[in-house]
Amino acid sequence: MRELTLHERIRNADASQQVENVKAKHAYLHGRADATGEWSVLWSRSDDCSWAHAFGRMRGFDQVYHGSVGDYDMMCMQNWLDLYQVYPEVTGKDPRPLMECSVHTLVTDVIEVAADGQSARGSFITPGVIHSRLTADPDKDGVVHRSPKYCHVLWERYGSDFVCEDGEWKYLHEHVCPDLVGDMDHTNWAADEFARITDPNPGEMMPPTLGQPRVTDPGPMHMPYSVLKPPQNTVPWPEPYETLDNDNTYTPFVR
Amino acid sequence: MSKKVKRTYTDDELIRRVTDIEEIKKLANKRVYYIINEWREQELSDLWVSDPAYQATASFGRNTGYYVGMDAIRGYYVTKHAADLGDGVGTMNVHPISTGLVELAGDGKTAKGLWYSIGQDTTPNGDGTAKALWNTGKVAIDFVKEGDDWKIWHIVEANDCTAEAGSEYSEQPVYIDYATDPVAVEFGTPTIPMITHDATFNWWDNYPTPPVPYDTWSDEISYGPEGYPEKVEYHFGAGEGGNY
Repeated sequence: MRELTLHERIRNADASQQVENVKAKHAYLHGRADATGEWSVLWSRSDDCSWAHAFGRMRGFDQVYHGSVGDYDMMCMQNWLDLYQVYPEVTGKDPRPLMECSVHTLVTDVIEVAADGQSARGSFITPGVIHSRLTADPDKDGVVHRSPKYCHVLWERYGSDFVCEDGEWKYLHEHVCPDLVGDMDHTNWAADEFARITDPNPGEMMPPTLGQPRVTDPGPMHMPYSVLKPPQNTVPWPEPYETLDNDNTYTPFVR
Repeated sequence: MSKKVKRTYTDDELIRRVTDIEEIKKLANKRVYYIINEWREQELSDLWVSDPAYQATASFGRNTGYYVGMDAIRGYYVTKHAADLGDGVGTMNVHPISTGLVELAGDGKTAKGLWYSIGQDTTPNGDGTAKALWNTGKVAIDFVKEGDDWKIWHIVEANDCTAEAGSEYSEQPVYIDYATDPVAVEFGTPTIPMITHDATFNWWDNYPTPPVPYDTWSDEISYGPEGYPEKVEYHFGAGEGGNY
């Protein structure tokens, strides 16, 4: 890769900080389940947008928007309808943040800004928490009852691509790789998974994410820890690069 | 609210801003180590504002209110804490911060930052045992530049979850009893007692609010009590489009 001028280095240092902020804004908006806010301000509207998780990859802004905003809001509204049965104090409150507080904290980032200054790529680890106090579920007869509050731990890795549009940094690609999820205080992911797979009638693995939106690229793309799997390097850290292309992206472009 | 004005910067100005943001991140990180080492008095003298005008409006907030002014902050953060702590044996308070979001004002004179902490507080009970708590929550800080140095002006530590280590969090009461909640009890009686963040409803109250780009300081964007957003009213006080 060519040597950058001093001007380009300063530009890219600023860009790296801007990208950190975009990623953090995502974390705080998602913590309130404000998907509308996130996708209205942080994301490129490009047909090249993508969002991937264990279930597969959504492609194009429209598909990502419907899966990440519409489907997510639907879960929030359904949750609120249950809550209202047993916690009337939720009356009049925005249903979205009442679903849960999903805090994907960000650490250990490796960010590279393209030499052309038009894109950036980052890998992150999130040792996060997901908690909610007011929870409710219907029983087998459909009668809603109060459920225990919870605080889960969720560890994931991210591979994220960003683009600069009219001077503003926007998300283009997100690839989420779940590694472990469980209750904060007593989960033993290794023992739990061993017990599950050695059970004569093994149950389903705890789903690493909410919902199953419509995808273009079917999964599974990266599954949580298993005693039967080697380490998965699904979203390797980015290397210095000239421009966003199929050799430097977390989502291959389809032309 | 101070609106963002899209400024353009020379290379010299831009690298100054990049460096300022890195200095601010280091300042926030250093504060974590001051807490670990129980250097609270030194934290206030080394990291917080020294200009009398800023000291008068400095504040330290938690879920149950704000201490305002450095004397009041010192009374809680240093004096009360020292009395609670005893000789310090058996103490370990670690609040690592992550998920940094720093907005430097367009004029470069102030900055706002938000972080999230998954931390723990371990405090002696006085009988040879100790209580170990997990604590999670946002840490919001306003910074101001005094001379060439960045200083802490306002802090809000907004607690989300508190759980005794090794206990079943889900078996603890859903509702918060502020008379017994360890974080509320430790905070004592602040200058302005008020519920700033009610964790019963997750992040519905959105406080402290993530910083947004801004050009110059105004009190209404402060993480001090003067910047506390009008409480979102519900029921009959919601108003048109309220709560969304």
